Amino acid sequence: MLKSRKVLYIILSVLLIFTLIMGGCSSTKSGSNSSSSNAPSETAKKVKLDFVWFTDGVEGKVMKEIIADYQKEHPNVEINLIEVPYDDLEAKLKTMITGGKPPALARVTNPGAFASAALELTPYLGDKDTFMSQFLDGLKYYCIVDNRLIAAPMEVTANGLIYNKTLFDKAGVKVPQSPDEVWTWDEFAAAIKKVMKDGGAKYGVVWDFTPHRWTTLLYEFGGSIFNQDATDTNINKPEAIEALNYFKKLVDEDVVAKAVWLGGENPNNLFRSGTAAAHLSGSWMIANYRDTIKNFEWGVTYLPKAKIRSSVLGAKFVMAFKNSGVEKEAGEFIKYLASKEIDDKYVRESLFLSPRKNPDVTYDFGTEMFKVFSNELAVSPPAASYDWSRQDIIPKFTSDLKAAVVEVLQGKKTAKEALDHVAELAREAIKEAQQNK
Amino acid sequence: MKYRKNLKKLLVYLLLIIISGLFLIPVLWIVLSSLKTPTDLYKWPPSLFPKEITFVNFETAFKKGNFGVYFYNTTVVTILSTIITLIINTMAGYALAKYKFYGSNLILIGFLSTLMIPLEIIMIPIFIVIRTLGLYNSLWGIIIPPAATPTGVFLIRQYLLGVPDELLEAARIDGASEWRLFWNIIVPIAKPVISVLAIFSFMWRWNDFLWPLIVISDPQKYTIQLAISNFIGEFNVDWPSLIAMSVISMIPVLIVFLIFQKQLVKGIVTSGLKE
Repeated sequence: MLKSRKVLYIILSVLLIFTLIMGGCSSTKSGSNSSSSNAPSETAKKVKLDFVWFTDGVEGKVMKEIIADYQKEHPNVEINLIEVPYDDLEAKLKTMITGGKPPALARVTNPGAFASAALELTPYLGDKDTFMSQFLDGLKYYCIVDNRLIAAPMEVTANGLIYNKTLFDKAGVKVPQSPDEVWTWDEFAAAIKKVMKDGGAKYGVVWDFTPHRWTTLLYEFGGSIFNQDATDTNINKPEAIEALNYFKKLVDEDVVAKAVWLGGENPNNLFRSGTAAAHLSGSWMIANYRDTIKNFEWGVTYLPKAKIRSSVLGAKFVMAFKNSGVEKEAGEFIKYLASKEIDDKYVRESLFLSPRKNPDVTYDFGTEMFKVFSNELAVSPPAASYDWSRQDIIPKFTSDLKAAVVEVLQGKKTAKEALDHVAELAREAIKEAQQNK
Repeated sequence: MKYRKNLKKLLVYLLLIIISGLFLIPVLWIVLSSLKTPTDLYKWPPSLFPKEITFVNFETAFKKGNFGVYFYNTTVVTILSTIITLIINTMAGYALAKYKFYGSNLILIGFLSTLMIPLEIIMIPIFIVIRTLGLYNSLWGIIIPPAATPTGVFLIRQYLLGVPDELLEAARIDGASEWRLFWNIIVPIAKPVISVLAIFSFMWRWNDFLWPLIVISDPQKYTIQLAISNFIGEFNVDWPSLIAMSVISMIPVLIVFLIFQKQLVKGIVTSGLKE
């Protein structure tokens, strides 16, 4: 009887000690950043802004520096950068919003997904059309949803062509030096074949295995995924079929490496290994290749053209949320971030493309490469931005589009059969999205 | 005769060594990869052994985050959560195995049915509960909710079913209280299965990702898994740092396993033996 009590006491006191240790730790650590609503701290009205963030390269570090500068100017504001992995960003944000604890700010790729919880930014950024007029045209599809300005662009990405300069030089192939010298796809295919033969490239173009990168060719052939207002799909129109047939030809001739689209190899690794002639990817690879490629020279050149030239626009934004309790401070911080001075600093130090029209950023590395990417975006048709801004519809069938392309490459289906099937699924997705509205 | 026996033994051992080698390759690969330079890491075709051994990945990873704090947080969370799990699961399992009361089976079925509901579905309701209790963004928010593991209750109940009722009756006749019965008879008997649960619980909490992701917002309270996954971006994965930190995060689980492994083997052996 007595002994059992003793044991119980020991266990309870062990637990108690742990609790005390824990309590002690958390109070020393979180003392300064307890939330504003229930803890009036030393400075009169200190507010804390939670900023949900994900990191691809060094931009997290750059943002922390910008935040530190901002906090110096605004001592009453504390910005807490919550870093989450990109894949789990949506889960985290949606739980926070639905659970009644939205963050003040977030970095997102598709503001539209959070439109209903978003804070209207016109009080801070001014008239929405005037504000958006300084940015690339395609960005308005993302930032203005249901006639409300809900996000500010921070950086853009462009699909483009990175090539192995060492192999091209060895084969004696020169890349176009200006937009006037852009290759046609046939000329490009011949150039790649020469680099493979004379330069010793084991692979031709390693083309990212994503529907997003595939559509670069679709837009160049004059096609698109949706019609102008996404009430119908154009994915099985003749232009799209032509684009897919041409892609198959490129793969059949080994100009586009089979290893990626049919073999599941990672294109980044293949290009980094120095055995691929070129990589069809995008501007986001510049910082990565700068750091990881040491044994050969590489560069960026213009994408070949079909009927027109085109890249595909991608972008990242900051947005604020309703009911965070700190809407005003969040709006003002977005105004600060979106200003030309701060955003230029951000893109320069992170090695990103500026979202502005005619950017004049000088980078420490690869300014010429960024110019090529910016030029690609400037000549891209509106559809190349609009299609991918419809994140309420497009993710529902992009994996089917990818599968359809693979089936055609394998010779299991003709381009028309495969794309007719995708069109069916796209129409269902469009209908579903309209019903949800 | 003896020769043949030895030959057979040799073959069996050889086979076992080959199989365990196969299982070890991924672990070995990640450990060796963490010692490569980033350029070496991306080399194609890849090689198993590093060209030169370097700790540069560990250095850069430690510079990128406050990993000392993350390890501390994870350790506190894992240990506390495991202690709570062990206490409440043993008690619940014992009650469900040895006390006959109205609705005990219903409760057991209730426990078990929660096994079939993935966290993703109940995430938002639990989040609201946590927020209302004021546990949001605190380590307690990731210690308490996952501590209630139905698997543990089930494991312990099944094990204790094998303990003869006569043993408990005899103790009761000798005048032992119910508490004493639990602490002095049941807990020592259940030691193997408690060890098994301890290892599992340690592993689960150490590797927890989704729930800490939802609850924790303050970088000072990040767990190691949260910090590691932040190396994954939209287009790029910071493989060198990710691999280096994964190697370090494997060590504690390994240590715990080494401590409890004898009990674990015993647990597996005896839990298969019912009267």
